[in-house]
Amino acid sequence: MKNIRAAAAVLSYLVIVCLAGYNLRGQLFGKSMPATPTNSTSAATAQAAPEPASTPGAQSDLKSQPETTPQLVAQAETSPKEKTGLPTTPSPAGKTTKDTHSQQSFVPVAGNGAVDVGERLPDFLLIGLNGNTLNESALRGHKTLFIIVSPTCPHCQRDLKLLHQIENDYPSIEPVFASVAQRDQTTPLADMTGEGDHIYTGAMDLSRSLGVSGVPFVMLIDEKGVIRLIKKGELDEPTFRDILGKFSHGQPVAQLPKIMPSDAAFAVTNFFGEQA
Amino acid sequence: MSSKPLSATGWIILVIRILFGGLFIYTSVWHSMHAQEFLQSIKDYQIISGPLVSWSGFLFIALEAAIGVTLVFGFFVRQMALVAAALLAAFTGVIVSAIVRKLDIACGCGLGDTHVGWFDVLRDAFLIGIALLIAWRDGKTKESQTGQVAELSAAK
Repeated sequence: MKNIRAAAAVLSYLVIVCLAGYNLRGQLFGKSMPATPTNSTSAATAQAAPEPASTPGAQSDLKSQPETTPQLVAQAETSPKEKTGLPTTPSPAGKTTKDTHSQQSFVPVAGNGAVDVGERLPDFLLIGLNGNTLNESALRGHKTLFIIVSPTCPHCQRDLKLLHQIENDYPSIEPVFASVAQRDQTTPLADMTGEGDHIYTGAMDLSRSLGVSGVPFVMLIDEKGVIRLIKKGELDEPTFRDILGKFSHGQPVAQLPKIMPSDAAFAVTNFFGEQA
Repeated sequence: MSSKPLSATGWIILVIRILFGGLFIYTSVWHSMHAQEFLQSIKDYQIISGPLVSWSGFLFIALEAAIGVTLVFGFFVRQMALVAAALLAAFTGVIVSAIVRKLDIACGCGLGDTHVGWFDVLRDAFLIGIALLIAWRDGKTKESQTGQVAELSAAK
C-alpha cells in the first residue's frame, strides 16, 4: 500500500514538474523572457534584418504635409511583413489577417486602415535603440502601454517625459514607444526623455497598417495581445494614472473618445498630412 | 505502527493536511499553466531579474509541487510542513517589501487575481500557522508512536 502511495506521489510530482518545464522551456533554455522589451529578442526575431532601408519610391504612398519629415517618409517602405514574407489574406470584414501564430485565436487582427478595441495588432518588427527587436508575439504574457510616437512631436515628448516619471508606479505594465522615425532621428528623443530602453524604431509601416493619422497614438494591450484602449493625442497625468491604474488592476478601462480636436489636452500631431 | 485508529483530532489534522497539500498542488499546477504570468509576477516584485527569474520560477513550482504531493500522500510530513512554513514566511517578507515600496502589482499567488496588500500577509500568516500546526501534530504523533514502540520493546 505504501509503495502504491509512493508511486502515485512520485508520478504526480513528475507530472507537475514536467508541465512547468514544458511551459517554461522557452525561458529556461535559450529564449529570453519576452516580458521586458529590452530583453525581448526571440528566436523568431533574432534572425530579423536590421532596420529597414529607405527606398525613394516610398514617398509617393504618403501625402506631404508640414510635420512629415523626410526621414518619416523614407522609413515607410520596407515593412517587417515584407521582410519575413508572411502571406496575407483578406478577411470577410475587409481587413487583412496574417497567417501567423497570432491567428490561432479568434481575436481579429487589425490592419489596413483602422484599428479597434478588441483587435490584436498585426505582426510587426520594431528595432530598439539598444539593438533589440520586438514583435507582436513578444507583447504576450504581460500588459503593455504601446504608444506610437514621432521624435519631432512635442506632445509625444511631453508624454514620454511624464511616463518616465510615473511608469515605475505601474511595474506590471511594460511601456513600448514605437517611433515612426529612423534611429538617428529618434535617439534625441531618448536623450530628452530618458526612455531609451523602451523606444523602438521602424513603426511607420505599423502605423499605416493601423490607420494612425497622428501621434501620439496610445494603446493599452492586455496579456493576450488584445487592444483594450485606444487614445489619440497627448494625455495629462491624471488621465494616464487613471487608465494605467485601472489597467494594472485588471479593471475595465473606459474607452475614451478616439479624437477630441477641440480639446487642447488631446492635441495630435498629424504626420500623414490628414486632418485628425 | 499505524494500526492505532485515528482520534477525532487526528482525523481533523489529516483533513487539514490534505487540504493544505492540495492547495500547494493547485497553486503549482496553476503556476505551471500560467507560466508567463507567473514569471511576470516574479519580475514585478523587482527583487530578481534576468535568467534568475525563469529558473527561480521553475524551482519554486517544483518546490511547491513537492510540498503539496508529500503532504497529500503523507510522506516527510513534518519536514515538508516546516519547509512550507519557511516558504510562506519568505513570501510574506517579499509581499511586505512590495507593500512598503508601494508597488502596485499582482500577487502572483495563483489564488485569484489579487494585488499585493495586507490581506495577503494575513492569509500567509494563517497558512504558516496551519503548516506549523501540521508539523507540530506530526511530530507529536511520531513521538507518541516512538514512545509506544519503546514501551512495547521494554515490555518484551
